[in-house]
Amino acid sequence: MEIINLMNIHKKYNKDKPNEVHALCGVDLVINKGESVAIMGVSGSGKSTLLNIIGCLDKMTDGNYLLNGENINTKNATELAEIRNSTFGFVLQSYGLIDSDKVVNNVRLPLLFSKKYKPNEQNDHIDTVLYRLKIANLKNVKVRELSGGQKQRVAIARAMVNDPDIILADEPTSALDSTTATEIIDILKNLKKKGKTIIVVTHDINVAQKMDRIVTIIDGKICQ
Amino acid sequence: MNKLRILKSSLFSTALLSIVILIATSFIMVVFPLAYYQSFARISDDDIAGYSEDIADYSAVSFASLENHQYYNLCKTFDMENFAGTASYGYVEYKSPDELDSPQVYELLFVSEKAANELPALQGYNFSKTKPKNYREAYAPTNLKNVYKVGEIYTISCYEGVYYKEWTIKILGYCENPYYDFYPAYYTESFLKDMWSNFLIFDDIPTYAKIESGLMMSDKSSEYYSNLGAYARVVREMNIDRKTSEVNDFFLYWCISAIILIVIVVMANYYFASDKLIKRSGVMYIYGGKRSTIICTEIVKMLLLFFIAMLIATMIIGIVIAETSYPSLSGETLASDYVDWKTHFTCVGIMFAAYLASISLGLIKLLRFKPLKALSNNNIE
Repeated sequence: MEIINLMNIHKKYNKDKPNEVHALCGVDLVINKGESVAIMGVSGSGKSTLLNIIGCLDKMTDGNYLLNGENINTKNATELAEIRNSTFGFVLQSYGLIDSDKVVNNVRLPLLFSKKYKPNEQNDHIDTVLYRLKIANLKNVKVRELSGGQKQRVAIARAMVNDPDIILADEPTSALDSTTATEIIDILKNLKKKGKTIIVVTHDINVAQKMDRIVTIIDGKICQ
Repeated sequence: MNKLRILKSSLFSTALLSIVILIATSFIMVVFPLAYYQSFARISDDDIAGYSEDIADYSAVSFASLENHQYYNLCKTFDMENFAGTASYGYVEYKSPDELDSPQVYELLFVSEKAANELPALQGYNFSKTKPKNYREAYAPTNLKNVYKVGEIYTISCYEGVYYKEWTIKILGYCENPYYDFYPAYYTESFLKDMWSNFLIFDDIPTYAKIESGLMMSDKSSEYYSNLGAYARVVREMNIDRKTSEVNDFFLYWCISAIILIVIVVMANYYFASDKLIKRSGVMYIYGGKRSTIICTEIVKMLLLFFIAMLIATMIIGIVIAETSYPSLSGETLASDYVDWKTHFTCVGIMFAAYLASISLGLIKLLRFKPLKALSNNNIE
């Protein structure tokens, strides 16, 4: 059952200006529910742009995007914000954590906008997620005091705390040693086993090979 | 509800900065009105209440520093025939039948000949030039209108034994208006004083009456009275001092310097803190925050901080006003030597402008934030 269906997606930066960049040139991509997909490509090939469009963070210049069968093009800003909150969990490049905040506050952030968990249920739920990722003991530690692997676990905890259907990970292992990278990939594979759809942008062929499918993007076009 | 949680989260994420802003803004909003009031709000072109050119060259004299300032003793040293003012000779008590508390006390004040005949006339008081033969003219306390009727003659007494004295007085009216009370203080706003709890009687000053201060209507200098042991100042000089010398710019300059310093400190801190805010806003955006909600929350947070600081300052200024203000001569408003509400809220307005200026750079930075760009720089910290 398809969860994401991208049809002839184009993305142009600085459209109609002398410095126009055609980042995505007619991308077609279907991803099924519960599938894990690696998106590979060299720097500047358009893979992060594609991830941003899939995650409703950026708007396409042309094309159609069906998410769970609904056309994203027709959604307004409020609806897109709700979709980002309820459907996607983002694992950002270089973690994207607030270093001066405690782990628990970083993980709680998506729940500020959540309708899935009531305020009185949130603390227990955060504890459960941190426990699953084996970082319950770091709950009240400031992020700046954590190692790279611990930070990435916190980033994944934040991505999954609102129980999204799709996890989008942008270079989740790029700053980690091989052992820690393997642990992180195992966590993502476990999420897939629980029915989550995993989309990983990576340069690392070892990471990509652990996914169900590899999608390669070259100059804004998909070469599967 | 969600928005409140976002606001709370935003406040906690910048707790230290918020506390610093709150304390600094509250502090300056207390200090600034005090300085401003001393330097601007109190400046007036008005003369001291009760001042006139007719009395400008006479000396206001205080006898309070003398060991014995009873009338008979002062007569030994000073030319008391030139004394214009009032002398106090004890108290009388009256208890209203429906009052459970202790009786009210009313002071007997004797108006000197010079005061009654030569000081400029005051509204509500009109003593005859000469003392009538069978009674003395008097004004009764306003509270005793039911006891003393205008035009009626009464006998009033004070003390017992050798100090006992009795007067037959005719009530001309009530002490509803202020009467002269000269005191040569460094800063004097008025030569008039509310007399509502006094009997004002135009008669010879009793031997043992006490005189604190008054006007000496003679051609002698203030140095002359000072040399005799009193404290004396020429009325004209007092009037000039009142208009000029109470202005305290020194304190104001310090305050303005402090405001500028705080504006710079808040501006710098908030500007650099906005990097973290932008990053946090970027993360909030990808996890379901709307750009408009994030920005509005931040603006509301900063306004809330100012509002709380204003409340704290207003409470403190309120205490200062309550503790230091006194009824004006008209009795309708309160006056204070330190600050008033008008000055406080003027300064709140000035501080609000300074506050907006100090957070504007950081806010503009935040207003222009682009979520994706904020995240692409997400290793700022």
